[in-house]
Amino acid sequence: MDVILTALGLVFQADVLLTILLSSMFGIFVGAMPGLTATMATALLVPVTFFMPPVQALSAIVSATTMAIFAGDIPGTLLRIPGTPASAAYADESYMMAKKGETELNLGVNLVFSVLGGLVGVAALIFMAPSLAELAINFSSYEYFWLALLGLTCAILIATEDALKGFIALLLGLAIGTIGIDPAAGVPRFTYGNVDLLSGVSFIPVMIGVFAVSELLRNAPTINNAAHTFAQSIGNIFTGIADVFRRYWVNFLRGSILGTVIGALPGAGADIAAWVSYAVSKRASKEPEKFGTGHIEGIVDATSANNSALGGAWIPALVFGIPGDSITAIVIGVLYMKNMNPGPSVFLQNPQFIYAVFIVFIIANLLMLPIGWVAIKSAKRILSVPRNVLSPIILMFCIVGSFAITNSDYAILIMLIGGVVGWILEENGFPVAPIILGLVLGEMLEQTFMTSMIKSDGSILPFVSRPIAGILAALTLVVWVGMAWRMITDRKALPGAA
Amino acid sequence: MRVNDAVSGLVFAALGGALIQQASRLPGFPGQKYGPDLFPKILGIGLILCGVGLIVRGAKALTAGAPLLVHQEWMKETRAVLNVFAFIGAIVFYLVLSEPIGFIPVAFAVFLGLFLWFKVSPPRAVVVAVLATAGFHWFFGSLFRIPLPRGVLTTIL
Repeated sequence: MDVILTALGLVFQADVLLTILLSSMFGIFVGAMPGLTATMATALLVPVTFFMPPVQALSAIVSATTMAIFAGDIPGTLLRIPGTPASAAYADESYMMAKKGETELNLGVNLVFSVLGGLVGVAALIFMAPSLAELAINFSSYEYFWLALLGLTCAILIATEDALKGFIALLLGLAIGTIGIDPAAGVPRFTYGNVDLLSGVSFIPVMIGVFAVSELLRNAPTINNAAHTFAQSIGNIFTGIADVFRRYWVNFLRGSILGTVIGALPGAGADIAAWVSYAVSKRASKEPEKFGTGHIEGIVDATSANNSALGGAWIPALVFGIPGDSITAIVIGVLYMKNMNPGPSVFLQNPQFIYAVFIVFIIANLLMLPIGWVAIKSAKRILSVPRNVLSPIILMFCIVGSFAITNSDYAILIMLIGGVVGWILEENGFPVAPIILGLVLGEMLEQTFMTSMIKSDGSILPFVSRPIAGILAALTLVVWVGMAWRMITDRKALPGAA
Repeated sequence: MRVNDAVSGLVFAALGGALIQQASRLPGFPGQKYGPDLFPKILGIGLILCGVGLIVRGAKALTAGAPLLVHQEWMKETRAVLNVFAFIGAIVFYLVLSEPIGFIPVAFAVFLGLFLWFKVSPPRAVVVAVLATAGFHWFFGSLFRIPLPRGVLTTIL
């Protein structure tokens, strides 16, 4: 109880509350702008959070991402362009509803069920994380090695269409992570006498490059396409929501739970949660023929799922230091910078921070109702911001944000390389999120691997002889076999498209 | 621009080889069998294996008649290609000139140049460039106390 009071004290401070409000508005804007994603919102926020105390920094990220995932629904409904990938699964369905004259009902459902779904995800986080942490406190380097390996493997298996290319991206991230002082022996590695590289390739500039600059480059060719306009005015969005809830509360629960579980799986986030729950909804529906014609049922599932996935993704991130999606991969990087190394010990040593995160999550989800309402009402103005004015401003944000981390041009150079390489890789079908996962988890993977190897004197047996380590090893093997099988079947289906 | 998988496979396999070669020059860990070279070497092997996988896949596609290089639609438009290079050029421009000339003039030039290139009307471009430069200087320079390069304005600021 004391801890919760301390946590409340940490959150209910003017500067933290102001941060939550401003980040929420920022998140709504970024989420609603097509082409700008929740991950990009996080990437752009991190340099700013760098100068904040831990709770304030985490509040900024939690509130911005919560809002961004909802706000992505707005242009999906109004323009048929999802604002973030998490809304892509049902953008068509929403747009069909809008064409039938049900814009208000659609946006109302999106808003209310995003809030409710988000709260389910948070509830799962609050109830599961501490008990998992108690289990994890007994883990040794063997368990952590398998967890990190399993997490990285799942990230590739679930989150990428092309496992081989996902693997390469991951190995690339891990390889970038080996630059700097090595974690076991303290030998400088691949630094070639460069002082900047001694502390490793700075994580934030790489992330800004890979997630934000590459996005700017990808959108650059179409930057002069006309700004999106629509003439509709939006009435009362809350009419009829109660009816939808009475009729589809099962869908809401199913979507939220599915979203939380998918979010908690390493590597799969809100976008996959939305796709899967929409598909499940269609399969389980009594009237699947209505799907795709502007039917609300699947939207209830999917819009609850993508917001609940956010909370779910924090479970493995806080308990094991293994990110549930690319946003929490960034969060883990931030936690390390704040000297709050994620893992079960945080729950023992600094439980007030964990509880503060829980409280901020609840506040952000509740705050979504009024802020989301304002955003829907002012959608016309938000969506008319011209991209040719916005993009150069985002670029400068990337440059100055990177510079702020090291106060030197070195970070800008890293950002530039990250942006160009990330852009080229994505153009060629390589996913970029595994690069960041590899960079974030690389040190943990290597450290636990080296410690385990030195402890076991090179023998493989101790890696699997402890019960939990054995189970994790078996799980990892199952996933690997599944992945190999998929690679083989993929190759038969698609004979090597370039 | 999409290259055939065989080309990217070759690049990554070569990268894996280079990683192993460079790692083998690292000093050992006295008294231990496993040194700082072990992990990078494993990664190098992984890169080579995956690279070979891509080469095999790309080679199959090539023999099936797929081209070595595919140009996307947007690459046929010079303006679209130059848009991409405008962003890259802006970063390089800032990187080279911000230190000697200073944040304020260079940021203003980056904004104005990009706005005009992206066809923002000139009066609007100037106004937004001035406001954005001032805004960034206030937010990062004053609020967060980032030492943005002063350059030629050192004596004035």
